[in-house]
Amino acid sequence: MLKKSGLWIVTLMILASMILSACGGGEPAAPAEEPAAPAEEPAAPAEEDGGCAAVALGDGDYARIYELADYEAMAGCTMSFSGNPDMADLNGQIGNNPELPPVEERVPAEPLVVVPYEAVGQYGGTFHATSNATESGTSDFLAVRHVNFVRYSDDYVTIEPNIAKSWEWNDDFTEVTFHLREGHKWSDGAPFTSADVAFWMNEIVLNTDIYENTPSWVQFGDGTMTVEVIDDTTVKFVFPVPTPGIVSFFATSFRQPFQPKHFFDKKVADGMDFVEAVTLYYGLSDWTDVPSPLLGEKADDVKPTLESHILVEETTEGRHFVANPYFFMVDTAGNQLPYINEQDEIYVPDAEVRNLKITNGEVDYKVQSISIIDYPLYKDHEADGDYTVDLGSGVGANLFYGFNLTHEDEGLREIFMDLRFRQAMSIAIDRDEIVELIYLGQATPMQATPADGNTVNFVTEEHKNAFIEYDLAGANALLDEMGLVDVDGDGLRERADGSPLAIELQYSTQSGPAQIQELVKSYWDAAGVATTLKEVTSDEYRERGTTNGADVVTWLYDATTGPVIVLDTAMLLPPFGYAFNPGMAYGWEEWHNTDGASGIEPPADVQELYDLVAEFLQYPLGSAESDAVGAKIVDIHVDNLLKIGIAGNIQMPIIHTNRLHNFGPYTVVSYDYYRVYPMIPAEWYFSE
Amino acid sequence: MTPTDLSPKETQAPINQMESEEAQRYYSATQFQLIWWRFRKHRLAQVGAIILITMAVIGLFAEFFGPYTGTTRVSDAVLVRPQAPQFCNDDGCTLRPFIPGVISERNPETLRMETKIDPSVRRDIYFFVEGEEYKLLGKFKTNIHFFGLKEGSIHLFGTDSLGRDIFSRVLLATRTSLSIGIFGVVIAFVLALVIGGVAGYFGGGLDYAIQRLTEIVRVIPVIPLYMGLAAAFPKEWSSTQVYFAMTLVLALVGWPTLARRIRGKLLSLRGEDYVIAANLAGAGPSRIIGRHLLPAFMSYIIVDLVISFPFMLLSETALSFVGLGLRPPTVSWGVLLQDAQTVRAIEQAPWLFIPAIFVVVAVLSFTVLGDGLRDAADPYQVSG
Repeated sequence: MLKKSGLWIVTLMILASMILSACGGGEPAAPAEEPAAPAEEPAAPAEEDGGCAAVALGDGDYARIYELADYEAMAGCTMSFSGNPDMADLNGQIGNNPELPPVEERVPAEPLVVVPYEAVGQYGGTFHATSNATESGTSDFLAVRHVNFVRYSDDYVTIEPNIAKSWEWNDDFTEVTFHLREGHKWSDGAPFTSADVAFWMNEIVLNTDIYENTPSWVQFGDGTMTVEVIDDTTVKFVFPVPTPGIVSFFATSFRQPFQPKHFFDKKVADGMDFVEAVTLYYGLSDWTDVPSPLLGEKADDVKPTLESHILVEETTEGRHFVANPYFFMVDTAGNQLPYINEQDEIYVPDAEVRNLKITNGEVDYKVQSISIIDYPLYKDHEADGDYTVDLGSGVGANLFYGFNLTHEDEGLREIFMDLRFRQAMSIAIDRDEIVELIYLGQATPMQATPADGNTVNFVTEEHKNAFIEYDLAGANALLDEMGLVDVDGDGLRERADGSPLAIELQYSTQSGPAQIQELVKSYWDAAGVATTLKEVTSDEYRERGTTNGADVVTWLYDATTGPVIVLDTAMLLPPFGYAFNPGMAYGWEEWHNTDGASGIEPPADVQELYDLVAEFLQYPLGSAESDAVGAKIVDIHVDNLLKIGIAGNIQMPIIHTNRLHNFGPYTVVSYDYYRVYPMIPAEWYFSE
Repeated sequence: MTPTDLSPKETQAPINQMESEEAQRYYSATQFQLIWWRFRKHRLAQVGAIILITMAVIGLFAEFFGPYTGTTRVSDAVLVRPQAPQFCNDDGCTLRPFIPGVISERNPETLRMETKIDPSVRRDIYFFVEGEEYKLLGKFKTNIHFFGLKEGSIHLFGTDSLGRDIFSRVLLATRTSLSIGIFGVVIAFVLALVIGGVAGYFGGGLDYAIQRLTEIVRVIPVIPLYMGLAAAFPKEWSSTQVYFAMTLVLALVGWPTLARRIRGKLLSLRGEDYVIAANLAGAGPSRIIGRHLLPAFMSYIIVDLVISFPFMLLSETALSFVGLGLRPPTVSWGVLLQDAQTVRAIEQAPWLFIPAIFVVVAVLSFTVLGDGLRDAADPYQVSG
């Protein structure tokens, strides 16, 4: 690596001397020493300058980001900016972008200063990513270029500024005011202002020609969130009920609360229908990665972005991105981020082909769609593929089994509703064996909880350990007690009326390897409950699950982490699921939605959940009130064993090539924190 | 040996030199005897037949020949390598085969299961040992296995990632796959013979109706049909029922091609003099088709039949994949190979591919057997 880094050293020296001249003073000879030990000196080049060296981590409001003014004040120097030398070329690739102004005019007047993890990087290179398909398995790579108002920092607790410079709440958490950056520009150079935020909300989200029904994610209590523009850089969100969780939403959601008003205004001025323009350029899917107008050449441009890279080419094989010339972050040396020139994403639908690409070192970074079961394979090829594979904790990754408590077959419903049945099914599972065979020992047997214990305070050991001890005799005793006995002597139990008892377990391998299902089947068969397995596609699984057609649903218990449940109550309330992760109590949901006119009446304690959850949403996460109410919610879930969990703290492989630097201490693998977004991937750079 | 090897020179020579008694025997032999004699000369075909019979026998008695059931998990033998029985170690040689002590351990760094062999431990292999209880031929309860250990576990083909013995699973899979292939082919064959024979012999309006029916069956897209049936199969069905249903489905979509060919052949043959002669002699249609027409192109039918076998095998695999197919704990070669089609298996557990050898051997055996049968059944072989 040292041999190859010759060019890098030269670049660093140039960069360093630029800072030196900018901040004045310092010893010109020093920078040559720097590249030898970049990891130990995060703010390296700045440190060469007497004044700037005063900035130590922790002095600012946040661990590793600063507002420019704060940074300059602490460092006692005036930062001057430099940009990617290839930017004119890259800008030429972006649709109808105008000529490139100098870098000083491209970065905001108030840029975000990022302290790199390892070192100030060098520009250039193409980042290689794989997704499964246009809209499948893409969040991994989306997160690399993603921006939003705020983000979770790499401690996964603190929320820190990003697009928004700062924000403040009123006393009762019904109004939050975001302050945007002075001089922030879209990727085409047009100013980004609070009008773009209001435009997103008022013209798109609330436009009934676009969304026939107002989306649930802007509805709180009995009303809708509203957006007020205070001035160009100040925008206020007003909620009908206390909604402290919205900041978590803006830290973790793929939905960006701003759209380029000037772009759509121009399209309308050019004679395009507004709704048509929104449909074409914004897309109306549930997901953000909808095919762009470039695919199929419906248009030769895409809407401008605030993200670190912008789409310039799209085919059915993949997508290509180049760096955003107006990106709002700079490093401590005043270099505009991102460092990486281009990003190339290809679709690889086959998991084994993806594995081969990874082991050949052809994928620069990957955490999604790979699993611990392939860890030995990745580890074997670490050296020849020139990449590193680490393990990180997956949160919200506990596989669960939820029996359909509102099953259309009354006999089955009665059986599933019997708590003894769910307890028996839980203790019939040998979790230690699953952990060893499937998770290679890298997980902890754990009961399912609607809040992930690693991300909230109110999940106790009692919750996690409820009914997880393997006890086949106990399971048999409970089932016998229910009157489910083996009448015909085939080793399998019949229903109390003598008709056969059979459970069909439909699963998709997207939720985990099929072997887990084979093991679970064997445990339940051993307890005398005939279980048949059927592998289906995830679409088929979801279709069947959300239409109340499943006997038992099984998926990863996602949408259960702190930042999600403070806002999104899908997992807390019937049907205990959502479109991507079907629940198992649709009859209860219907009963509630129709005020008891149709559907199935839930038990009394489940009905209590509605009030408890409404209360839970009113408190900021981590407050004493929040923890008290949260504990009650988890109590009801676990006491009823609404879902049966297998294991938590599951370790997941994290792969990145060795040429990728500033990768950061990636410790939590979760979509709920928007994967790599907390790590600020704009600072990633290549050493070659 | 290929058909050209049995050139007239070669086959006629013995006849010319035959003693009169032997010649007598030859000319008075039935067709079956003639086929048998010719088949006896086809060594390769006999090898194929012997292999297939062996497979059928071990498949039939899979629980007896396999030391474990297909779903038994041995927790301290996960992903162990195949073990070869040996007679000698450092202490000398014995008549009784044994294997060294084997245990699987997870490498703490790579998390890979590694097979640790302890040569100091000797595990004797016994024959007709008591093991897990099973029902021989589905009827007789017993716990005697052909071979096994009294202590520890033996895995001739290694184990999979859940610690299941691949040898035992392959034997069980052999039964499933072979029987699906054979039953499927046989049912399709009978259907094709009857339908194609009737259509070809009678012709006219009946032929027209049957041809349209054949076309209807042929234009049904197979995968959607399978998927539709998969949804229609009741979930209470046991794996045995699913298995029979599958065989039937395979057969019901498998007959039209052969039926078409038989019909075409019969259409051209039914005007031959010997058919007319048989007709005049008062033979009924079934006798004429069965005795006079079909044997005329028996060799062709045999080739077609044999080609169908690998097709049935592959169809079974495809069906298992779309969910209509076999479900655990039933295993077939296709199901076993599905476990093996990962990069992980290729690199770190290549023994999961052992079932593929069985597929290749079975398909090859059927091919050479078919080749030999074709030669043997060819009525023009001797005279030609």
